[in-house]
Amino acid sequence: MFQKILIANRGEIALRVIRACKELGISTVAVYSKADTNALHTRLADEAICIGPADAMQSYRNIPNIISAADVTGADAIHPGYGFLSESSDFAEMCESIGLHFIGPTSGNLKTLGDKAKTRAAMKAHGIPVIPGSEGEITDESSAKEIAELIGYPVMIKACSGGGGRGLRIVHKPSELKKAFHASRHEGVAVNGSNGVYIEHYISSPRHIEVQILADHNAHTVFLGERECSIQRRYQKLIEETPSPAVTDKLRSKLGQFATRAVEAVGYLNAGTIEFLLDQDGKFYFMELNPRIQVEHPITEMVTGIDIVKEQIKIAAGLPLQYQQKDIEIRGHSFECRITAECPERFIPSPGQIQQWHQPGGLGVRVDSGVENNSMVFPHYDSLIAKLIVHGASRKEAIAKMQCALDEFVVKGIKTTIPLHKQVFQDPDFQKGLLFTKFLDRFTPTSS
Amino acid sequence: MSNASGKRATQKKKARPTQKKPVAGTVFDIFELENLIDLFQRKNITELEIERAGTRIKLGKHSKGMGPDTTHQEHSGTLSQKELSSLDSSLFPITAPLVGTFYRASAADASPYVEEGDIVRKGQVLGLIEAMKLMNEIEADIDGTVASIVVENGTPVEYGEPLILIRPKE
Repeated sequence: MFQKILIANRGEIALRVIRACKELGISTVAVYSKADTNALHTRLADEAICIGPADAMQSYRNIPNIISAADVTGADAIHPGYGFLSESSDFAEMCESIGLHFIGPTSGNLKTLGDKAKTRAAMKAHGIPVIPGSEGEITDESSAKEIAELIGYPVMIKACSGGGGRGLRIVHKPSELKKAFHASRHEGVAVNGSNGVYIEHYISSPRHIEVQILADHNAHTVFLGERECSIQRRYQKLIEETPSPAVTDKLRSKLGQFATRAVEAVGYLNAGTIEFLLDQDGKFYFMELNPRIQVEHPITEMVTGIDIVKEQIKIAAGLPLQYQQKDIEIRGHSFECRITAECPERFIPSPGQIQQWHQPGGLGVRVDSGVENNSMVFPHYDSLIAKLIVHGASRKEAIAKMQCALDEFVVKGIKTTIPLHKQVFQDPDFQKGLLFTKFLDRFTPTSS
Repeated sequence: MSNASGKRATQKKKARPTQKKPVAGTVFDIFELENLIDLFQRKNITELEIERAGTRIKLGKHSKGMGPDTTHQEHSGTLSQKELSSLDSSLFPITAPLVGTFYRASAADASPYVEEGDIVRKGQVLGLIEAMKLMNEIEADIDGTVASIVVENGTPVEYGEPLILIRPKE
């Protein structure tokens, strides 16, 4: 088992990982930018080391400084959290080459999965349903036109190296194709220089269902149930729940099979999430394999009782999974609300100093947060300041718990999305489980 | 900071009839306490608990915690960024532009690039920071005199850590 882990991240996920390390008796090293000098994660860790100025590229994405920090503190492993360097095959490769354990998949996994077209082909070859679309990258307009005709409108154009919703364009008619094609390519270039796109059939009103898996060095895979993440705005998730109201036991078993096959398709190691779209006819389509711990992992932890971060660490240390699929039990229902420092009406960022902070608690109420009273919320980083997670015996009970918890949550000094979450949980369709990815439009202005 | 195994060191001692008579009313005598404290300070442990005849002594070192004052690890022979700000504000700090180990000379047997009192020019090499076996030269940003060498040779440094203080040329 590792002696010391460096956490290459900040905010709530850094705290999360530090706590798991402490419980395992592992020393922790926090890294921080100048802006985060007084941040919670620097104080909870055993050691903390400044790695750069506020700008993420020079600090939390600064590979030389982070690796050097691991070197000078004698860390034997790095946990990358999510975002930042968590999906960088270069970073993982560099760690591997100097004997520093990267807690996550292999650099080979990251390389393959970073290429959406390649991943799609691998999944298709393993019998996993994928959305009808282009096989391979498209880099010129006439091919785009041809493929779109073949697939059938409406189509979605995705930049091959996009992510988090960037580089996506929906095209309803052939006349819209040219503009959308070039816009998507442009965004893909901005992300990392690659200008290829792929085109697939667009499914309207889909539900976003994802499956959490763990895979160890013996290629032993377990899946920990699914999560429904249909409450989104501009492809950014806002509310997640497990189990999904739309997934029957039969569907769940099928999903589990697909997920296991997806793991085999790429030889995946450690924790990962396979994202699917569920259309209105009950058909599943593979979307992405996310090779990292996800923001919404806590809801899976609440219903399974399994600490996913600890499992990541154990797998990285070469330990085999301690359970079989039959040991995994899903109990009760869990929701997560992502509370961000944004105006709930138009999602304008609201940085500043928190003047008052009171978070709810009690049985089945969990708050994962990187801030507290008097914390500064900076514009340099993503706006997530807290995750409010509840667990109840049923979906109805969990909804009631979330409503109480949201009512008790007080944040003054900055604006947050708490009012929007309250609206959602009071919505009759939401309470009936009638969710789809455009659900939020009824509360917020539609965005392109 | 925890010790190597991340666990607390606990010891329990049985009372021995041949031990020195304790000071009236106490279970541990003053000499034992002195030895204990000395041992604790010298060794790399952060907590020590000893129990005897229902009396427990607990020694603790708290270099880090959730307290509002502790921010980052402080190495011996360096200034925290807070201490620096309370220093002579006319001195210009040369700070580490990267994370690594600070060296004052180009090799183990070479003489240091600069000493206190040396006059330096902008661009002059004052020291090296080694990161992952690569040496990075640390240059003076201004003309002046070396007022103080803050970091000892061979000490790990973090981004922004003050290395050398320069008294600017008038």
